[in-house]
Amino acid sequence: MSKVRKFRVKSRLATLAFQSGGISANQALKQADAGLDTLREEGLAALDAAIAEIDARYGPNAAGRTAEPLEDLYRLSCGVIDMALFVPGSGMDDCARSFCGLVDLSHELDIQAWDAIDVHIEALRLLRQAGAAMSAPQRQSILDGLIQVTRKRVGDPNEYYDRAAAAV
Amino acid sequence: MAYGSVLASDKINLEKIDFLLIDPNSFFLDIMAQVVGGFGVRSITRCSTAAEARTILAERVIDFILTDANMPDESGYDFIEWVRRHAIEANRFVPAIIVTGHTRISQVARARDCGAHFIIAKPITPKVILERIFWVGRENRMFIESDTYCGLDRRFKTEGPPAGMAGRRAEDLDGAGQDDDNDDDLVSPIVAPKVAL
Repeated sequence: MSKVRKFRVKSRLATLAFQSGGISANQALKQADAGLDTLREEGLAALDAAIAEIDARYGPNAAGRTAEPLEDLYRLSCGVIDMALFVPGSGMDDCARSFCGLVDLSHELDIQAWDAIDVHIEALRLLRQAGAAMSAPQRQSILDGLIQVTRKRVGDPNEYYDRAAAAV
Repeated sequence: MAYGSVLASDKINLEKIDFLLIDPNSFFLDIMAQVVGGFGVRSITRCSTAAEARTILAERVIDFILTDANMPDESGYDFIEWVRRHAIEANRFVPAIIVTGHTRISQVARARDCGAHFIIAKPITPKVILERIFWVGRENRMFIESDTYCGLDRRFKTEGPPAGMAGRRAEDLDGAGQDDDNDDDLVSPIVAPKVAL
């Protein structure tokens, strides 16, 4: 059996971050939010561009979609999650995460799931337009539908996560 | 909560902390830079690839790494594992947080074993990032180094197994550990003055 070494390390962060001076957590958050506000328009434009590209390359009207790499669809869906910080409460992050799970599992299992992809694209568009104005139960019903269609077409991602986490 | 609370009035001084941000998307680098800049960080180094970040880490001491999990040349998990094993000694145990929108099934074990301080779910929010910085600064977790793992002790909670599950050890509490480190309910109070983060 290999030797296990246990030790503590005091980081410079631990040494310096709590010295005198500095700013309160509240002030830090206000400043960070103000900084993010300067990027909001660009962020929303990036979000819309990602959805448009997903639709153009992988949507039901994309003639060559079967030849498009799923890796790009995964990357674009991750991009939607990134930019969802600019549309809090819209459900777009959960929708895009479900999309990533679908694409990842489709890739792992080598399954074509275009009908499920279509449903996710439609949900992304819907949540972008109206997600923030919906009630929580309305948003949840959409997300529940995405979970169901994913389970039906490729299986339950959580089961695969559990297996992967149990593997040593 | 495993790390105790952070009050809205608690102070933090990040003026002398050198931050390394890594993300293939330059706009997302802008986002992270705005967030940590808002926290008072003055020294921010931005890298778009893990290779670039390795060069930086070979040249100077970095105090905090915030990296994306999905990079084109190397995953953030592999990168942090490399830091823990092969970076210069001054950087090997640097606080490191990975941000990810989704973890691929093929990467789950890598995420668990890479040795990062925390993995944060995107979309990022300033309050979650700030809370983790406080936690990392305050914590006193041990590092574990063995043939198969190098990083912080991952068993840092004492609340017991997840709700509804039996523990593996006799001393485990019965299903008492229910909180999720990334749960918004846990961190939302940061915006309320005089209330725990």
